[in-house]
Amino acid sequence: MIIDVHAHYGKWFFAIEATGIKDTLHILDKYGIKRCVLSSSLAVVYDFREGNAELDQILDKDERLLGYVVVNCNYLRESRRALDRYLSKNKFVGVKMHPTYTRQPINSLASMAMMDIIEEYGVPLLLHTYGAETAQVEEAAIAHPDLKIIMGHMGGDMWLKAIEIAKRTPNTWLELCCSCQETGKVELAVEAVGAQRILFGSDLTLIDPAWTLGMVKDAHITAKEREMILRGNAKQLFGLQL
Amino acid sequence: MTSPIIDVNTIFGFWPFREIDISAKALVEIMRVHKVLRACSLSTKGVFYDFHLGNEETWKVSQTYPKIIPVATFDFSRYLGIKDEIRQRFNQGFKLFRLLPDYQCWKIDDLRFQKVLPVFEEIGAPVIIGMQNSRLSTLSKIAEGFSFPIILEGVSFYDTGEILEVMGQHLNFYVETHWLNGPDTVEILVNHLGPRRLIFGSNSPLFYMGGAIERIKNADIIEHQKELIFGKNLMNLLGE
Repeated sequence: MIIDVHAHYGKWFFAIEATGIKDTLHILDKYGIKRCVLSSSLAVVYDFREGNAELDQILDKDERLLGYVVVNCNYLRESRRALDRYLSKNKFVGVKMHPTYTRQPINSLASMAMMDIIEEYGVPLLLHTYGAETAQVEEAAIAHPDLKIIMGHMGGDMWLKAIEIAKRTPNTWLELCCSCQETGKVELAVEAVGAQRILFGSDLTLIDPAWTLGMVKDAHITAKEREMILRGNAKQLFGLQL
Repeated sequence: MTSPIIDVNTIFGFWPFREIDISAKALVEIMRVHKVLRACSLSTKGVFYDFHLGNEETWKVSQTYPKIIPVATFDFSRYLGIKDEIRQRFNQGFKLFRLLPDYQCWKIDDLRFQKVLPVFEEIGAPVIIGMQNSRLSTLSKIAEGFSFPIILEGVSFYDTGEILEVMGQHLNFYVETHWLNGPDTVEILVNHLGPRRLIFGSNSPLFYMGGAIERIKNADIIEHQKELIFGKNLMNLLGE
């Protein structure tokens, strides 16, 4: 059984056709993914209001589907309304922020204000981290000690920096999906912060789960640690009943 | 899975950017774990320091480890002597050549690169070109009129549309698979270009080999197409 904490629903501006809900369910079947936490790509790259509403309609289609409420820190009041509206529904279990598409650094005033708000709700935040911006997570994590921050993509090509930050900030988790699949990163992460703070994500509908599953299978870690990464930690973090 | 896996994209040697064992011994062990029959590989000494010395080392290692198919490489920043080196390595028995501009100080739109293409055409052996920082459309224009096989490495699902157009135009172009990790990238390319244009590669030992293998194993294509991608296409290109 696998829990995927980083997936999307919807189209992208790339030549990818497998973005419909049938495609996603087929992929979940293929890899034995029992719970999949999605954010709306429409909400991430464009209009969070429209995208969240669209995802809300989709989540009821299959019990495996769970949702992130996407917020946009350029719209603090509307983002709070979205949190109130969707987090009251059982299917929404976390919040997603993407600094690239809002053009707000992780440690900007707007982003930090957004995290002040999210912290009140007590749910995990999936925060896109990739490249140099990864270094800014530390400031955000220290300023928001009660916010559970999942570092999406584990910093991408800056994964060593992400591991350093996770080691210094107990309220951060490392999520693995990324095209930078450099050998040894899983082992180093486990060694630095323990398997209990590492999570499996696929990045569907951008990346096929086989990519990251292959990496987790390859990693020289114990069976128990693998189990924690693929399901146990997510179950605990999101309080899932399975 | 009954067909052998042959990996077109591996390296060995020393990696200066972080502590990691990418020795030939480590590579061969990874191949054993994943039941990879053979791997095309080259010494990183030829990438970062001196291509002549690197090619020497690659040849020696391939004699020690028969599972390693030697790949010759050339640095266009050094340039001097490059044409002779290509011919010599071909005559020595290298069947595959690889260019890694992403790690060196040159680009594919450089005149030095364009001046060497006729030498590759003359010998006719396949050439793998790292495309991580280059446009496929640029290579398409530069390679117009040449017929030697070119294997595009370092292209991802971001590039799918451009891959389709460029490879549709150049029937001598092939694509290496390790970054074709989108949920339907392999399937789209197979449907549009046929299964004979994709060649399995992992970028191991820098990358985990498992992800690249699992993506092809789990692709929604038929078994025969997987066999072609996993090895038969490459063997055909290498004349084996």
